[in-house]
Amino acid sequence: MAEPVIVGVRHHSPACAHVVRHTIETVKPRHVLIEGPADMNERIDELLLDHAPPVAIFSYLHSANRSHASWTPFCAYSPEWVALREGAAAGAQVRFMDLPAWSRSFEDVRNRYSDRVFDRAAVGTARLCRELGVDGSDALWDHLFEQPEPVAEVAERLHTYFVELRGQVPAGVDTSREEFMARCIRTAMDDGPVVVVCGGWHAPALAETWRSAPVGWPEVPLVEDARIGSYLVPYSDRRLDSFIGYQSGMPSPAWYQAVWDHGHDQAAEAMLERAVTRLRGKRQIVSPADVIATWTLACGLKDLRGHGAVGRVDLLDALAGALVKHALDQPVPWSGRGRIQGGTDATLVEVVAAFSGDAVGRLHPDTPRPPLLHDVRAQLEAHDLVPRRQGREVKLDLARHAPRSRVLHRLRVLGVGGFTRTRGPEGPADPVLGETWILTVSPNVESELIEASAFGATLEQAALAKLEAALLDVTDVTELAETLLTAVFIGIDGVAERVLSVLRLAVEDCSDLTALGRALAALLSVWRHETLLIAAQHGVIEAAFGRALWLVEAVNGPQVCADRGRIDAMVSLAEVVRFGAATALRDAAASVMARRSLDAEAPPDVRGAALGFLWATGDPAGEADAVRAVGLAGGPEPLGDFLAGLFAVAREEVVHADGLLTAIDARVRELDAQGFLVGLPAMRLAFEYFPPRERRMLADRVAAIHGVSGRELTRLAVDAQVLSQALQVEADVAALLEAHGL
Amino acid sequence: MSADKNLQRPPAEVVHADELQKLAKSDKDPRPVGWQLSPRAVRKFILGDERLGITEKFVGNPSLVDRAMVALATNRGLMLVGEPGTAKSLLSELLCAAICGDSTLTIQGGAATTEDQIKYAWNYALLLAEGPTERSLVPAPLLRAMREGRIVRFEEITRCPPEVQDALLSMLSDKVMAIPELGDEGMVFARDGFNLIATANTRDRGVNEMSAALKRRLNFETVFPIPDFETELALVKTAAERELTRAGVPRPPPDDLLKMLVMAFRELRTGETSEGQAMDRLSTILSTAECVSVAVALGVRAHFLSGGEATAADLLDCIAGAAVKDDAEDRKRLRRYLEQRVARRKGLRWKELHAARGRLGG
Repeated sequence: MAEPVIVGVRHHSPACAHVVRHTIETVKPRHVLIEGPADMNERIDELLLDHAPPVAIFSYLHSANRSHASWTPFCAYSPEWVALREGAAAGAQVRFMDLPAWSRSFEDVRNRYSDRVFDRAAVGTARLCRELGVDGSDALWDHLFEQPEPVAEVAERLHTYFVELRGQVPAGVDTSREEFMARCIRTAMDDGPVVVVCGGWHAPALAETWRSAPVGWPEVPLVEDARIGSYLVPYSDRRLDSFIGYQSGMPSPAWYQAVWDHGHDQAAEAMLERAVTRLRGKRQIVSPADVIATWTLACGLKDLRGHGAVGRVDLLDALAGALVKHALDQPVPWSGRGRIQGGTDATLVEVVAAFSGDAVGRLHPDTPRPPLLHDVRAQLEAHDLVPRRQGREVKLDLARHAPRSRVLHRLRVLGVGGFTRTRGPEGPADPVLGETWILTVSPNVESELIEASAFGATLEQAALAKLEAALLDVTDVTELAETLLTAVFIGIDGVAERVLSVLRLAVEDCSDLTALGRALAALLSVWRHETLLIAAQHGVIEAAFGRALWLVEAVNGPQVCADRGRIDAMVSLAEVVRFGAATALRDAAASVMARRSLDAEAPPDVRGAALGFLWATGDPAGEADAVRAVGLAGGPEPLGDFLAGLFAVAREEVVHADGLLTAIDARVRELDAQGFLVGLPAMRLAFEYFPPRERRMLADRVAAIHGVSGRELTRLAVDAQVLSQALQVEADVAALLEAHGL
Repeated sequence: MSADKNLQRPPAEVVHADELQKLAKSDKDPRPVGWQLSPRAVRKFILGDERLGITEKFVGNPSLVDRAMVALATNRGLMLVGEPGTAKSLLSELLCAAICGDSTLTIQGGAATTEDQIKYAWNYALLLAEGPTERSLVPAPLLRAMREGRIVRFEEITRCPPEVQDALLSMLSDKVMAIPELGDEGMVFARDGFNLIATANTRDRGVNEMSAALKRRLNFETVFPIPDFETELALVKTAAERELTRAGVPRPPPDDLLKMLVMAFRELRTGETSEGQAMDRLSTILSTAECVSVAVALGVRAHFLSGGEATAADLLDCIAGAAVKDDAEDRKRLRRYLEQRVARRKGLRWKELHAARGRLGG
């Protein structure tokens, strides 16, 4: 029997696309089989419309206990895209030959064409990198394959490379997918010449197994009791770029697009121009001499590395060498793989962005509308939320109208225009229970929804996926936690663990106690509403808690004034323990707080708050320790700061502690007039942590100690502020009189 | 240059004379004018080539070496910057040895460096007797490098006053040095192969103070600490063993202790634990070189003083000596590391280290 022509490719590689094109031209196949979701085969004509890539097939599954969304992206130079179009143009039968995206084999896969293979064979790749003197697997790929060389030579080398790569990983991976593919090949082979385009990883295995596969097109497996489907959506360069996107394929899509469009020689010049234009647009100085130096360097690197034309890494290296005039904090991003690191040089970030490109795909107008549009229309009608041309105000009571509110919040998350909230609560703990929305008809709704449909097929799913994507983009901890809070409003049951792990990393990197405290408070409030995956979120809270402890230990300076943000962070820490959200770290926390409460280096408010923490989390000696500490707290200002920390964290305990109150009263009475005035602002801050009713209770008790009625003592004819100013003036006058001997 | 066996530290071109010879013989690739080896052969010399029996001498990204060589070949000066102890000087020495066969034309930068230490000085007896002549001229490394078409190394360039640094400008851009005292013969034009490799510490007085004109004539390359744990551990192990043998210590510190040492150094250096948690980085330099010296100190201490095997407590003493020195802030950071990070580690050695935290004092 004849052999099928199996072309093993790397997804998104123009070199491979050329090989595919050449193979189809020479073989003139009856069948072209492509690694891609077989459920799209009935609608393959949709893919052949005149779209402007990048576009993607979006596949979804939604059932009671499982939700999955994934993409199969194509750009103009994708080997699969070229195979589809060239195959169809040559009159061949074009089909996808892989399992649908909802099959169990793609459980954690968000992007069918991400290069997971390179992670699997990391050891062998590293060895090859060393031998050839290149940094990382992407540079290795460019060095070996993305060169202006005869197609036949590239094809030969690809084959050798993939056989070697496959040999390094034990069998038993992707078995069910490869069985499915082998069966497709076997069946097609009965009907004339076949070209197979699949990931290079599968090629060696398929070449061996197809012959023994059963004949007959395999059935596309469906999932019971679940909504499943696939449809076309526009995609973007940004999401394709592995420097930016999650589970993306190749880095720098704009570079490969330029190579595909203009050939290797012109690509480098075009990209240099593009990078320089972008840098100058960002007001960075790039002189003509710098440009010349960059080009000289790039050509030198090309010669040294034996490249036929200036390659991607040659040019990137040259840009770094010629433009950066100081020490870097992070290695150049292209020496590794994956998302760009924080702390990367600003010039290099712009260079990488220029190489990433900003193309956004466009679907042909005849493409069927994605289901999201229908779902949104249905939801708006069902909940009586259809906007009107002249604008429409909708008032919602959250207790009764939660589902209606959710629909609007989901649209807001998707960035669909015409839905504005004018009033409503900020978080789940906010006592405001009503919302007001203005609904207007916006002209862009349809195009915005088509764009948003890249995130999901239903409003709920798309909002969740978009929220997750937003979370992955944010780096500031407070902003992250606040974005997470929106999850409460859009009412979804689970944010993926992956998002929480990003949050966890951000939290562990945070070095601002105030921001961390705010994040911790937000996390805790979401946690208490049980909106998220409890187990994973628990990990994030624990991480934030551990990190905050670490930061608390570093706050030093006995002269430093009280800081509200810091105190609030300590309050959040105590809350976490009180609500049992970080039990594993309870002892560690107690020992940190015990150390800090006695540390002469700590600012007074931190000492107070640390003591308050111990007391509030059940230390029986809390009050006695507090009384002792009040006696030792130093001057009036540190005393006030100390109390601010203590009151904030252990408010409830303090209200009922008569001994402490007596001790504080004794300290205050010791103060002379000047000392009292100095300490007053700090004391006021301290007592502000009590709500008015509790403050009144305290006043009554102090009055009782002095044998007077509380009401008499606290009723003031003038504002307390004015009174303290008057006291200050009085003291100043007295001092002046004294100074002049009067 | 003849190899004298009693030299404490012979230059790279002497130590690796055999390898250089081997490479020169097999080198068929094109060479830039004035170079003794082709860039590809230089790369093999520095990064090693098993097939030719060339040892790896510098651990780092190959692309760094590529960029450095191409900068030198395209007549831009090369500036190596990085944390202390990242083998910048070693790399510059290796580049010089391979490219021009001589790594000894070196200017050591410092607050007291003057222009005549860079360009030329006079033999005053001859100057008085004969006036300014070729004979009374004492060429400094830069002049020699220009005349002989070699590479001059300028170590710690940012420690020099900016006006002294700027003396390099005309030599780098016009490739000519004027010696006005010699009259018409006083124009020295650089021969092919002349160039400059400067090094600077990021911890020292900033590269920022360098004039823009000089920066423009140099290509900057940042040398990073060794990125991967296993490689650094292997390097520390071999280097420490070599030095301990020379010092007459037969037994190197146990492997698990070295592993902990390298890991602790890496964590305190990068401000990130191996589990990916952020922590404080110490302000003191914790380079691989420092790590080797701690490992050596550990071995020496155990052999000559305690007479047994080195312990985690010894390690803490050595780290405290190397890392903390007398910086109170660093002592605090180290203490916090022990209290909050080491305390949670499993493994006997880590527990020992945590238990020994009292020895830190302060």
